[in-house]
Amino acid sequence: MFDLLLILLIIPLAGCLFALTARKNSANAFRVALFTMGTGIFTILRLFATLKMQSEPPHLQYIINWFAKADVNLLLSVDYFSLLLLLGTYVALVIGLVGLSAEIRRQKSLFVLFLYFVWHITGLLLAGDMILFYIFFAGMLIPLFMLIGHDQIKKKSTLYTFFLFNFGGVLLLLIAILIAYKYYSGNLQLHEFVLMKMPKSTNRIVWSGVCLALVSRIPIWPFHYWLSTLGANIKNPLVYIITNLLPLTGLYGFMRFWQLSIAKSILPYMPAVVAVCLVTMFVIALIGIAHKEFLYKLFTYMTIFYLLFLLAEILLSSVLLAGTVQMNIAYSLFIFLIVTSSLVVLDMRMERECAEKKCDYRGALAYMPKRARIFAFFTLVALGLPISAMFWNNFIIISSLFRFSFLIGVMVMTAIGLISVSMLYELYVMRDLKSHIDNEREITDISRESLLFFTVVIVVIILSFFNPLWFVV
Amino acid sequence: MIALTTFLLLILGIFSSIRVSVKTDKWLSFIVFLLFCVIFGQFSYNIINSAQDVFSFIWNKSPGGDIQIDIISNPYNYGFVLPFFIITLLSLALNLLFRYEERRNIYEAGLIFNLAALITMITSNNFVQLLFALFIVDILALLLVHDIEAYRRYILLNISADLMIFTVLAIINSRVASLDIREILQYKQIGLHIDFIAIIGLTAIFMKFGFFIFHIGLLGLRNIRLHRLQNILFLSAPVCALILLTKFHVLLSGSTYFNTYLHLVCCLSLGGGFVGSLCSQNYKQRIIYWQMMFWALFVELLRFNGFIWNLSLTFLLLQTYILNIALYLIYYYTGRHYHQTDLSKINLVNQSAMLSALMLILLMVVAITGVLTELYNKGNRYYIWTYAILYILSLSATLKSIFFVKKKASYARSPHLAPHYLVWILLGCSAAIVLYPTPINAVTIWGFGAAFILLNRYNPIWRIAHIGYICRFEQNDRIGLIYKYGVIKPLRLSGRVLWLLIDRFLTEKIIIGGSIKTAQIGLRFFRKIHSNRILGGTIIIVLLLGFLGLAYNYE
Repeated sequence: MFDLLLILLIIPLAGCLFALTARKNSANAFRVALFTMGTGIFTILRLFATLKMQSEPPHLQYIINWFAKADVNLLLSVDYFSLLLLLGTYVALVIGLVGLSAEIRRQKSLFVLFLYFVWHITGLLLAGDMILFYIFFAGMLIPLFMLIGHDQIKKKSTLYTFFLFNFGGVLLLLIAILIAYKYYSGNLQLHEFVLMKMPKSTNRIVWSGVCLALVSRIPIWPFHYWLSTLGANIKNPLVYIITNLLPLTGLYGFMRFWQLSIAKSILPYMPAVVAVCLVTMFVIALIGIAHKEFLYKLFTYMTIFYLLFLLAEILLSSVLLAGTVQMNIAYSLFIFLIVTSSLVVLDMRMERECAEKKCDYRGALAYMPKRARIFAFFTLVALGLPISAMFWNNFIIISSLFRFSFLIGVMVMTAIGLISVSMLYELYVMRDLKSHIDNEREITDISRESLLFFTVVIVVIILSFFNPLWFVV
Repeated sequence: MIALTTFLLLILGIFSSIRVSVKTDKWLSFIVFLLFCVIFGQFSYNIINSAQDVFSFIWNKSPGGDIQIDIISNPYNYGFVLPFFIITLLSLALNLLFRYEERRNIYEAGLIFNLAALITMITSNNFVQLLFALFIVDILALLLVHDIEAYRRYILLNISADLMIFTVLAIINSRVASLDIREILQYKQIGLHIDFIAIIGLTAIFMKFGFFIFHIGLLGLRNIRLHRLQNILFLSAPVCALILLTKFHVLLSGSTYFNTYLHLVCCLSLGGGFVGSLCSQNYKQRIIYWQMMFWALFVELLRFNGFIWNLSLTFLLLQTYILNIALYLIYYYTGRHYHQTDLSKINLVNQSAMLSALMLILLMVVAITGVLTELYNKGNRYYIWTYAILYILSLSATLKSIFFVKKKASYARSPHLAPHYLVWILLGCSAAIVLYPTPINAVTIWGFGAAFILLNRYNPIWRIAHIGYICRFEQNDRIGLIYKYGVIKPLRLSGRVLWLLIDRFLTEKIIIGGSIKTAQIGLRFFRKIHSNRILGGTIIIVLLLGFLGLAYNYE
């Protein structure tokens, strides 16, 4: 039964190879991608069911005897936390796939690269040891770089800057692992890394490298720059969603490395990191208010929430609350990924429709009543409407932050409040009829298939409110 | 028992949400109303029998505390739910009689769900249940308003208030590690950041009430249909604020600023409401201002009553609602047909109907005075006196401009609407129910009534809107401008400045630009080396020798 992990890892790779053989200018590769994702989701659900039968703490492992002489075994490992993130990622990517236009669905290379990326992110979330983690952490940069390039963004320099930033992070992680390798043999499990005994100065260097590598993926100042400028240039919803999954990899790294406790050698620097996180949240919320596009506000919103989860991990790891709060973060992230990707797809489709029919951004949703309703629903869920698991779990996370420090809690809530009101106002702007009363146009509303799909997504979100793990039989 | 009522209401709400043709809608809405009456009958039966019951189940378990859904049936909760039940019942009845809506049953569904959410709030003992119901009421308000332009400010203020309440509850939960509302007493004993909680909590409550300076959200609703506006005023955000205040006053009153802040905002609302109502020429806007004054009085009365709900408050609320129906009738017989809300243009059309409306107003003013007289002995007398005087002055000024001032507009343009006798039967019954036994004698009351009529005829301040400098403040939406230039613009400007300083200047120009420049300098340096063979050769030989030395000395 443990082979399910291996099967899950192989599915996207097999899909990628299969998509390679598809004919050009047909939607076959798209269908392969969709089918691969569906199979992946089914396997994840099967894993959930298997995990339920495990003893405490529930987790599944699969060991691959890779290099016997050097005692290097590769370890695939999952628990509820990583499975929830995997499921959230898969559903978010399926939403991205559904959001593609008929024209883009014929681009074979896009889906080959997409499945290659999915393989990496699956591997990263399944990785239980240092080697696998590094391979997938570094490897995903290549498909990502090519996917963004594939979208033919106008500002090429941004793409190179993005790659250099991330490549720098990868190099730092490699250096940290190589330095640390002197103090252990074989392969080390991720959560054991923090327990490794090293001289104090080496420990500090290693952990600084690891942290910088992981932070380079999270849009914390000044690393937020590449993500915001890239976001402004990407026009493909799938690529946009993939790019915004990158911070998840950094966040997941922190969660795994500090599963047991935070590295003591870098504890003195943590207040500075927390301060930078808080200032970034606050500043980016204000910058979000100044911008007028919904997509930029959404990016701001995502950044603030990624930073909130990072703060919770950094601060609460040191007060022995990590175990309980980590699951809250996972539940919240699960819905967060689904909601934000839905909003990306809905917004980009709306903007494209409007660009084709030459209507203004202001009031664009007024032409599309069905899309407007779905849009409003997802926006309200993102803002904290208590009909999803995100509301209740965010309440616990923020409450824990208040328990840790009142000031931090207040700053976090201020940033969230600012961006929430700003997003809500933008929703009003998009639905504002004023400028369109004398200027009506024939604009297509959401298609019946998309409506059905998003209704299913809405049901999933609502069910999560009653029980985040409702799908565990 | 209340649980069963809530459950039945939910089923009825779902039934009423069915989309049908316009013809079927007429019958369906009538059936929904009848079924609602049956549920009300069941609820009343439980009140009479004082049925007590606790419906409770654990919905979700968590290390942070279980989420327990409680619907507790006890006399206090019955009393608290009762006025909102009756108001919903009257709204449904008037919806049938006046044909408010094109899709009556959908609107009725909104009202029924809203009542179920209010009951959930009133009976809750859990933060999550409370917040859930609070958000649902806010969302249903959007459906009831059904006008994107109108609810812009309203929803922004309400969501801000919800986030503030979320913050307060998160702080409480962080210390008491429990989601049980009854544990707030424990937090009061801990006493950490109690002033912060009181100020944030009260501000959120004031926003929901639509008190002075937060009333611009409600003023934005002046362009929606009047019955929708009245339902928002009596069944939506202000009621949520009322419930929150009764549930959290124990905690909020722990702050030394509680009484001062509450009293200050109530006084400002009373004064602001009076001035605003006189200055405004819009009939609906006046109703919003009067309601602001009423809630300010109601909060003060509640405070003097120890924030405990009682029968007098129930009567006061119901009487004010019926008074509002009378105000609606005036609008119905004057301006509704051609959407006229400007008091200087509203025409007196149907003399007998209008006279009946005036009589109803008089009856309700007398009834309200009766209840206030009863509450007079418990409360702050100056405050009640001030409210009564200001409200009557403002109301009579409005009635004077409708009844006793000649208009230039032609009467012929207005339709001659016959009075709807069913309405009078309904209102007569309602009035009979809410006529409260007063401690003062009948002669005094009817004398007061006669004085009120005379005041309508000879009100000295009805023209204040045309002469008062202060009115320009109201008429030019200066409070809206304060928000715009005091809050929104500075936030946007600071966002823009930060974007320029941090993103464009610091990150793009200095950090990234600096890195690229450094790389370019390095490249140029190496190119220079290549262009000068002697220097280049020397440097590379020195570098290689250096590496050689390092390798040789490595241990």
